Amino acid sequence: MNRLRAATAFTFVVLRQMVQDRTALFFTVALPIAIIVIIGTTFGGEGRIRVGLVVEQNSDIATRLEDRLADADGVEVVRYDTADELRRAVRRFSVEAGLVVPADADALLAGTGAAGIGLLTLGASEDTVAVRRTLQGVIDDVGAPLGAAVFAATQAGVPLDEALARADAAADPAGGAGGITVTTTDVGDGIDRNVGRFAFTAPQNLVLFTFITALTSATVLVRARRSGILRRALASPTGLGVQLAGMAAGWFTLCLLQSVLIVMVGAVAFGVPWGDPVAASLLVVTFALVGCGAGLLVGAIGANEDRVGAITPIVGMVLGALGGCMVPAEIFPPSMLMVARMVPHYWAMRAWQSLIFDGAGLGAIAGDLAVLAVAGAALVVVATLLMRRSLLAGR
Amino acid sequence: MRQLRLAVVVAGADLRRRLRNRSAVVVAFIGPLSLGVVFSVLVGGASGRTFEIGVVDLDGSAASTEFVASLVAANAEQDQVRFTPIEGDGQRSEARRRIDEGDLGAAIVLGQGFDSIEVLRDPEQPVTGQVAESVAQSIASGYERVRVSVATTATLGVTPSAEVMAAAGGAPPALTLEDRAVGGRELSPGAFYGASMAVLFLFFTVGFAARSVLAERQTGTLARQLATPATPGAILAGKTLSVAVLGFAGFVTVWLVTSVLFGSPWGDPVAVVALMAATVLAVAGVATFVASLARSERQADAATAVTAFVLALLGGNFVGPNLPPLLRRLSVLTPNGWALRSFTALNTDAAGLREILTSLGVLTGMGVVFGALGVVRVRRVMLR
Repeated sequence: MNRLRAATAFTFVVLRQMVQDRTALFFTVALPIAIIVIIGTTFGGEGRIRVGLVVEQNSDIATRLEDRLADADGVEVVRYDTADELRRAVRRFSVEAGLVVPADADALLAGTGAAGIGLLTLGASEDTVAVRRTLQGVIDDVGAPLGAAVFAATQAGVPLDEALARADAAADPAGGAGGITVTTTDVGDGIDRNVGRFAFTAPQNLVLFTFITALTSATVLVRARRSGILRRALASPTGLGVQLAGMAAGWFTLCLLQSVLIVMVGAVAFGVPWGDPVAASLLVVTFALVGCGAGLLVGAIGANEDRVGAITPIVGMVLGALGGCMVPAEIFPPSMLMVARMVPHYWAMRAWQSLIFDGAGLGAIAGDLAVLAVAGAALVVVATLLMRRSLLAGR
Repeated sequence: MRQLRLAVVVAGADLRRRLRNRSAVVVAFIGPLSLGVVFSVLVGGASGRTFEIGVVDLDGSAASTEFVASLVAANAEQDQVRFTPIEGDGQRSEARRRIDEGDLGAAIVLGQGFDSIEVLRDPEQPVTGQVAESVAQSIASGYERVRVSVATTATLGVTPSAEVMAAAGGAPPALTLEDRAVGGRELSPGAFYGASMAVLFLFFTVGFAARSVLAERQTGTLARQLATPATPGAILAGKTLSVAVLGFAGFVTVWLVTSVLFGSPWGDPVAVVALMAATVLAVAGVATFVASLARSERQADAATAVTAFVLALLGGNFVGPNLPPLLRRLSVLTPNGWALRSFTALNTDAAGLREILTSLGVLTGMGVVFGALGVVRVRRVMLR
């Protein structure tokens, strides 16, 4: 009983130190939530595309295109005076794509029955493909009555202007009755679910920061170990085993508390659907075990506070990036995917995605949980042995 | 003149001490390099991805079959979007199953009677969903064009015969997108993330100056330094010079290594060096000011770290060159935003030294204003 009380006391010391440290609170709570909000607000949604537009000379086509772009969902138009300025803007990423309506657009349409709109895009990233497709949709839409007018003018032998007036009258501006309606459905494990925009970033930051906090807060352990406090505590009746158990429990509780806090804020403030409660809880617990093991390991081998303080955030960020907490692992090149599998974050992210997006249950993530549990247990055992050795040796 | 020499002596001593302490080396060199490289490899590898989109034809009419065939035929011309027809009974369920399993990112379902199109998308792959939606929109527009063509022809007295319908369907589109060369160079992820992480870590490197004053005051070595002929100004200048050199050296290392590793120079070298210097100055100013507000080294550490991350978040260090509108506005308030925008412009050859003069001015201004405020405060701390 006494031993349990001593271990619990040790846990509380660890937690009290963390809570009193306002910087630690910023990094454990405020920063992850700020990142979830910023990235979620700016990227989680459908996303707005900024399109640069140059109209070399006012024309009917230019007016139609401008009107259609102004109505398009998620498209913001920025006007430029010359194609050169637009080129520079595209290259500087001020806009994601550029459209150039040539001076002779109307004349080309009247003369040849077709006009080309210049498209400026950079590279072949997935964003570029999406922007390009969106603009193609806009151009096809604007071109529909124009094409109809060209066709009718040829068939009936009337001037293009007259045919265009009739085509506009026949066209259905809403694209509704008479046209084809386009609807979108989200697909997730047999149920249609509309997960919110924060559902992408919340698990990423949960995993990333739980681990970073576990590592960086290990400076407390290094300081206690190096200054001899831990060794002095050995002289007390509690003994080494109790001390080690208290340390492990402290770090585990720290990771757990931070995870629970992020999960709660995510669920309450941002409506993140964390999925099956039992499976999600087990996932939080197993990853907290991994964080606990990693933190203890740093505490056991860290040479001095300064160096641990400098290195651990970098290690935490690199491992997080490799495990898919910054860029989703689905788009990793194959060689990096091999590396990702060595990182616990990867398995945690995989499990969270199954829970959140596929509505999966415990069975579906059992494999991921097993990997995390084994990794966590191994880390805790190795760290405890190393800590024991360095304490007994007085290092 | 004598004070200047003393400042250089202080700088030399400070720099030697920092290089002996390996954590400064980690922060100045290893941190930005490793994160820059990891980000570049992950993001750089992402561009080769293919969007997998299924096509389900519930209508089965001649027109819908033709649409499906034309989509599949387009596969040969494009690398990044691949359409897969899904046939047989329960095609829609099959499409959903394959999206669920991750084989497909989205599916386009042509409805019975061909009067509706449903896009099924995987919420985990929003971009594929967006691509599928615009393909659906294009199909709808194509259909609309044929419908309006026939209707318009009819109002002009031409009977809508089967030939007219067929001709309308076969007519080429009136508006097309024509690719135009953007010129310049494509932004290299190595250059962008290298610069981005170098700027982030600069806060920690150059923040050392004000922090070390606080630390030395606590340990009592500051009083001893003040007993020498060096004035407080010279001591502070020396400490700042040493961290500026360290920060600049880290920046240059990241520049050289990412240029060689990813085979992509950052742009006009003179402009790059000028921009690095201005960035180091700006960050040194802000970091000195922030650290000067603290009462102890620990507080200064904390304030610097928090400022570094908040400015990096707002400045777009973690986001990439293509900032969403809100961040685009906020980033103007940060040295990170100004620096990254100009590094991007230099890297893509969209700008040279002349075009980034505004950025250089703003960065230098930030450095001077915040630096002056910080120095006044730190001097007061030294003499207290």
